Amino acid sequence: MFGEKGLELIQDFHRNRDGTLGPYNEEKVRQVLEEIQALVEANQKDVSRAVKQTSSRTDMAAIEVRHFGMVRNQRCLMAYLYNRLQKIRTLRWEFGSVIPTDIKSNMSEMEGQWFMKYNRSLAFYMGSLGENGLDLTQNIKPPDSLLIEVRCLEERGEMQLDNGSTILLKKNSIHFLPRSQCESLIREGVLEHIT
Amino acid sequence: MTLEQILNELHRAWVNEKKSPTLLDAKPDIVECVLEQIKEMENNIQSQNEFSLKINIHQLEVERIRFVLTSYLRSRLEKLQKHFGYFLRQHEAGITTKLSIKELQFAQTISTDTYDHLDQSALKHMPAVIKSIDLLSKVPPPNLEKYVFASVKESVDNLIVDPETDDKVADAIDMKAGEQYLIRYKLIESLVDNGQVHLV
Repeated sequence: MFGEKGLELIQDFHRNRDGTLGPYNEEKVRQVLEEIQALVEANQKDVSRAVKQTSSRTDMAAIEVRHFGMVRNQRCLMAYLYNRLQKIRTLRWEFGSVIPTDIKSNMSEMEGQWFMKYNRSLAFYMGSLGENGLDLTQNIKPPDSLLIEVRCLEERGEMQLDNGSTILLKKNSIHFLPRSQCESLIREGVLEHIT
Repeated sequence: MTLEQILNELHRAWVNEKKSPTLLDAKPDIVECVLEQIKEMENNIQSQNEFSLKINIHQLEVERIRFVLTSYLRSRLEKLQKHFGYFLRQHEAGITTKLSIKELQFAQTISTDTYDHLDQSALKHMPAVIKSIDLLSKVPPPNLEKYVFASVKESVDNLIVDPETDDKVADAIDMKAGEQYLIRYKLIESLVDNGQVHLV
C-alpha cells in the first residue's frame, strides 16, 4: 500500500526518540522519494487520458488516491527530517558546539551542514547580547555556591584558571574550583561534581 | 531606575516568560540595563582584590543575576525555535513588539536554514506538483489554550470568558486585584503584556 515506507521512517525515528540521534536512513528516504516519483508518473498517464476524455470514473478515483499517497509520503518525509533537526538542536545545547564523533556519524551530510549553520547563527545571537556577548549555554542551574568540589575523571593535563593559576587534571584528583569554569567540563564528562 | 527596580522587573519578566506558552513582548532595554549592571559589579569586585566574605557574597549575587538573565533569554529562545513559523508570520502581520531585532534575525536565519535543508534532502527530488511547501504555516504554533495560574495586579472588569453565541449571552467575569485564577492563557494574553496580570 502507498505510504508504508513513509510510516516506517516515522517509526524509525519514534523508536530512537529517547536516546541520542539514530542513524540517518538514507536508503528508506530514497525509496520514499522513488515511490513519490512512481505515483506521479502513473498519475500523469491517467491525467493525459482524462484530458483526451477517454477516461472512466475509476481513473479519476485512482488519480485522487495516488495524489493523496504522494502528499502523505511528502508529509512523512518532512516530519522525519524536521524532527531529526529538532533532535540535533537539543544535542547542541547538551554537548556544546562539538558533538562526539559517534553521534556525528549518525547525521547525514546535509544535517552536518545545518548543524554548522545553526552553530553560527546561535553564536552570532549570543555574541550580540551586550559588549562581550553572553553565553546562554552556561548557568543552566541556579548557583548556590561560588566554588564547587569536583573530581577529575579523565587525564587532561594542565588547565589555566581565570585568576591565572594552573591546576593539573589527573585521573581521580579532587579540586575546589569556581563554578563558572567547571560547568562546561562537567557537561563534557571530564569532571564530576562531588555532592 | 535603581538596581533594585531593574532586578524586580527582570524577575517579573523571567517568571512571566517561563510560565507563558507564547512569547511576551521583548524587553531589550531591561536586558541592556542588567548586562551593564553586571559589568559594573564585576569591575567593582575585580578592583577590590582581597578575599573577604563581602566579596564572596557580591560574587554570588552577580552569578545569581546572570543566571536569571540567561534563563530568561534561554526560555525566549526555546519558544522562538519551537514555533518560529508562528512568530515570523505574526511579525509580518504587523505585531512587531514580540521579537527584538537580534531575535528576529535569528528566527529568519533558522527559517531559511531549515527550509534549505528540507529542500536539499527531499523537496528538490520531488515532482513539481509538491516541490515547495509553506514552512511557516506548517511549523506548529504555540498552544494558547494552555491553562496558567494568574495573579491579578490591577482590577479588570468584564473579561469575556465565553463569547456571545446564539444560545447564550457572553459570559464575563470581574477580576479584583489580589485574586488568583487558573485560566486559559488566550483570555489574559493582552493583560499579561500590559502588566495588569502576573503569571505565577
